[in-house]
Amino acid sequence: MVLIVVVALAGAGLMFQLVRVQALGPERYLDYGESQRLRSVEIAGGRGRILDRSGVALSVSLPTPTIAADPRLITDPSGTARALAPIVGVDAATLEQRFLRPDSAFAYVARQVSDEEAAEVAALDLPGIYSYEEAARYNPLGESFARSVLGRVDTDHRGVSGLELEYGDELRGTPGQLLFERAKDGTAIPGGVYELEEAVPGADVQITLDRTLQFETERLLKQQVADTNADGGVVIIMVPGTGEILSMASVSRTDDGRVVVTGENKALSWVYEPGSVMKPVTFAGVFESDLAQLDTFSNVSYSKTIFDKEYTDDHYHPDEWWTPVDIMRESSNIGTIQWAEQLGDQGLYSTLTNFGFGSKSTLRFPYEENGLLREADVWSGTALPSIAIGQGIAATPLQVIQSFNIIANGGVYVPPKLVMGTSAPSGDLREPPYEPSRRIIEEQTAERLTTMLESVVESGTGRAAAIPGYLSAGKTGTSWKPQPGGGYQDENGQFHYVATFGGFLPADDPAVSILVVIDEPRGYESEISGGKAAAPLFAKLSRYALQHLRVPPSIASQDVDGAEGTVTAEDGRIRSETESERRIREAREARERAEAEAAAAEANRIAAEKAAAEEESGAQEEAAAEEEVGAEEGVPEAKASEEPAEPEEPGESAPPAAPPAAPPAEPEESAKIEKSKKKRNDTDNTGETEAASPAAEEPDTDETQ
Amino acid sequence: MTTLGVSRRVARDKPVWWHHIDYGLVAIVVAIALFGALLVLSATRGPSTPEQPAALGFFTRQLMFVALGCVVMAVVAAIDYRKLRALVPLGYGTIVALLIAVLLVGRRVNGAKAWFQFAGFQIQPSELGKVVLIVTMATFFASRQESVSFRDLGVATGLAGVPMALIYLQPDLGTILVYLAIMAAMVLVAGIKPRQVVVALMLLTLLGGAAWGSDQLKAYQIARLTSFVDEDPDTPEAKTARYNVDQAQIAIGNGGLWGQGLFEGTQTRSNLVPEQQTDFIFTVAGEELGFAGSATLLVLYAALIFRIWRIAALSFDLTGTMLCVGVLAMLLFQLFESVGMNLGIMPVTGIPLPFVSYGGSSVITSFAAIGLVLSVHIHRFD
Repeated sequence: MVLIVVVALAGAGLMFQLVRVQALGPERYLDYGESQRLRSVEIAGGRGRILDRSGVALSVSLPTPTIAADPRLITDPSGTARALAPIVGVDAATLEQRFLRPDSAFAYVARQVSDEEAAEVAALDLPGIYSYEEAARYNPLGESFARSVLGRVDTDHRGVSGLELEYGDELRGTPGQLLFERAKDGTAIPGGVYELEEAVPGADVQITLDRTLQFETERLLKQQVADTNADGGVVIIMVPGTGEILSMASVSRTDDGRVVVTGENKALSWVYEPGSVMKPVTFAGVFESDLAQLDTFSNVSYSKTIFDKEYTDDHYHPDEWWTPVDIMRESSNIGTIQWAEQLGDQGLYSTLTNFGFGSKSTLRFPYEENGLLREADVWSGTALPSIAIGQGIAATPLQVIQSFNIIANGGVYVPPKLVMGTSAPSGDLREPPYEPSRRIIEEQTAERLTTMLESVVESGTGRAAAIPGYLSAGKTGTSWKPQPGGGYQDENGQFHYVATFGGFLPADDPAVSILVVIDEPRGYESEISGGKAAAPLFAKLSRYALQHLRVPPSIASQDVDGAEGTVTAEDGRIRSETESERRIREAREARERAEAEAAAAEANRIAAEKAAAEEESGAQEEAAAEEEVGAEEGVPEAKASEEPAEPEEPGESAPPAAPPAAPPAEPEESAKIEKSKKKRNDTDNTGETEAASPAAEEPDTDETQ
Repeated sequence: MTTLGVSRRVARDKPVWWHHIDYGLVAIVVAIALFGALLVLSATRGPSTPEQPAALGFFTRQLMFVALGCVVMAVVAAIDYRKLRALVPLGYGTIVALLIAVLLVGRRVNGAKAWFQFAGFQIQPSELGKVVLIVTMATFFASRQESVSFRDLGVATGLAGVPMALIYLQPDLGTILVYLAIMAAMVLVAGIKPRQVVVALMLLTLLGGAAWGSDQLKAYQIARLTSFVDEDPDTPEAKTARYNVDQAQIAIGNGGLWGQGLFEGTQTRSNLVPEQQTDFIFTVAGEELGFAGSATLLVLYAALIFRIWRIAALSFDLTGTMLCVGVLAMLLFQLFESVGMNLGIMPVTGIPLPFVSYGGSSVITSFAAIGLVLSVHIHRFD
């Protein structure tokens, strides 16, 4: 009886386990077995290139020698190590350690060395030491060029940062593999699995960066950071209408004082409190809520205490009646805070979130930050006044420039673009999916903000940003950096600043937007502000960018010299007509100078050609003469086009004054203002309208009215 | 004799002994053995390429062993099992002598000194000892007529204990377990009393504990047993033990329902399963013939067990029944242990799968055992 039970149990047990292992779940054993038998050798597909917007390679893979060792063949480990160490720059003891493993058939000596080093090693002819080629990544325009955007690959050719990481899969392509089944001794099993899968090279990624602009951006930013004794800086240049990023540079100062391009893309990964550059966003909310218009006055005092905190303006002034334009121009904290208080916590918060603060862009760039914007529900009593002037909110430089882009685009948010597309093997460019554009604020609000920003460059804190020939709109920001111990003062009671200037130009038809951020400029208090430390670089970059992009000069532009020649009425609002005319004249002069230079260069060229031609046949002489005539005609033509622009210039001693060539633009602008007045049914007097309207844009406004 | 019609009819034909051959049993055994030879071939033929032709050495030897086994089986079957009684002292003495000799001049294979090297063949006396033990026990208990005293039990234990102790010195734990299984089954059938069972179990526990505590067990043997229980062993011995079982299960799982095809098993061809032609022969069936093939093998064994069981029941005397029970216990235990460790439900001990695992001693012993059973069937009316 016992035996029957034993037999039955034994049989049942065996069958149960057999069914379990074989019939029910063989996968785990199958996989395990395959993983043991199948050996695959990866065949790397060449990594794709990263190209700039015109198709020039910024990052390419090149075969590079790597020195390796077969420790089994090394007869004299310590001698070999000592011989190699000075050439490859690896510690001899470290090398010897690697060689002292005779059971291993492979050890790296040094990866991706120069051809010269490889040749030196080869000349030594050491047993067990050999070199082979592996791919390394190079930037033909220099190691540091656009490094923060392009990113880096590790020695195994995998992207670890930047676009190399973000587009790692596309660039990497599809590695092929050789798959074979091997026996225990490592040899292939005859008749077993043997599959060769061809590698597919990675796609090229074409990005929106303009290499020329990027180069100049990096150069000028490094110079500016050095000149201002700053810790670092960030510049972004974009095309507001398309969202394309033309250049994006991050630099910082190393411990030994050099200013270098960083690997970190601080334009996206650095968050800071932007300061007054946020005031346009605050006023966007104010205008959207119909709380004020350009010419709505408010009483602005020098200081105001909210809860335990005293807010003041930058410079002492008696109580003033200021319009939003005045407030923006003077970058008045108190004026801004008072309007923000009317807007309320929720109003300001929703405006900021609509502008994209507090959340990442759609770039998907590695390590991009959200910024820091607490929800309005948890705001303290001083959150609103602080945030209204750009403190107590942290943003990435990209978020800040996007707020200017929205204004430049007439209120429309266009998502930023860094990648134009990836190339298919067929040569077509596959565009990545982009978020659609969307309206953030009314067009009218954007126009009002533009007007305000023009006045900042015209006669406010941002005068140093003005350039001849173009009308700029922008805003300064001089913010306190939060300190590790809390608060904004370090242990010595010192404030640390970040200077920002953001804006776009030409203001009437924006071609580029530029943001300059200088981190911790040092110097006298008057030198570290956004207007002093950042705006001049904005001017340099905008001049270069517009020339490079061949943007024709505007009809109107701001006073390049800033305060010089400014006539301010007693109420501090009205610019004299003469002054605006003078600006235009100077813009024209600048253009004329440029053209004269061009003409002179042309004349020189022709003269040179002529001289050359004279030495040749008479038939050629005739041709040269014809050419000369054509060239002479060109210059007067250019002058003629400006003729109407300068009729009635009064006092200035300058050559024939050139009033704006844009009579058509001017009535349009004033009509707009008229319209807005009617709509609001406001009762402001004309004088205030004049004050509000940037004289730069409509120099004849006073006349008209 | 009896009044059964069958018996009377058969009694008339008594002189013609081959009339009572259980051809079914013979057919099953031969089928299993040929099946096994095929598996041995697959496990040992190697890559079989033009450069390296299939190695047939193991296969031809195994066929030879099977043929020799058949002869031994026929000879044993022809002898009336009752006459074996006279041979018991001689057989028992020979085996004990051999087991002592093997400790002195034996060849150590895989850690156990269990083999004689003889003219290119290896002979494992402990295998042959199984049959001798069965016959000895059957003879002894048959003389006690279904009433077993404590003294009888002591004598039986002593008789079995001597060869077991000698095997323990080799050491070959697996074979001792087979001896124990044979003993247990035969003692049970001989008519042991419950309190005797209790005492026997206590003694067994004591002995086991003593064996465990002694230095005689090698580290790898302990590791095999503990690795079976402990899922995550760390010692090198445990890793090797685990490796065997893992490889075996991979191979069997690899087979799936229908297998990879004879000679096509990847794990088998890669030579990844250790000791595949002997202890892990079942994995070849599992991988190459799948569930269908290995289940068929198990069904054949089931038929074999059933056939032996039937003959045990048909026997008219205790000696015949005891012989059949001993053989049945031996085969069943080896089957369960061998297949079980291949499947990972039993600890790894070196026990051959009867008729299938490569090895002359094992094959011939198994055939001899079947010869005993056949003898019981043939001579039951004598």
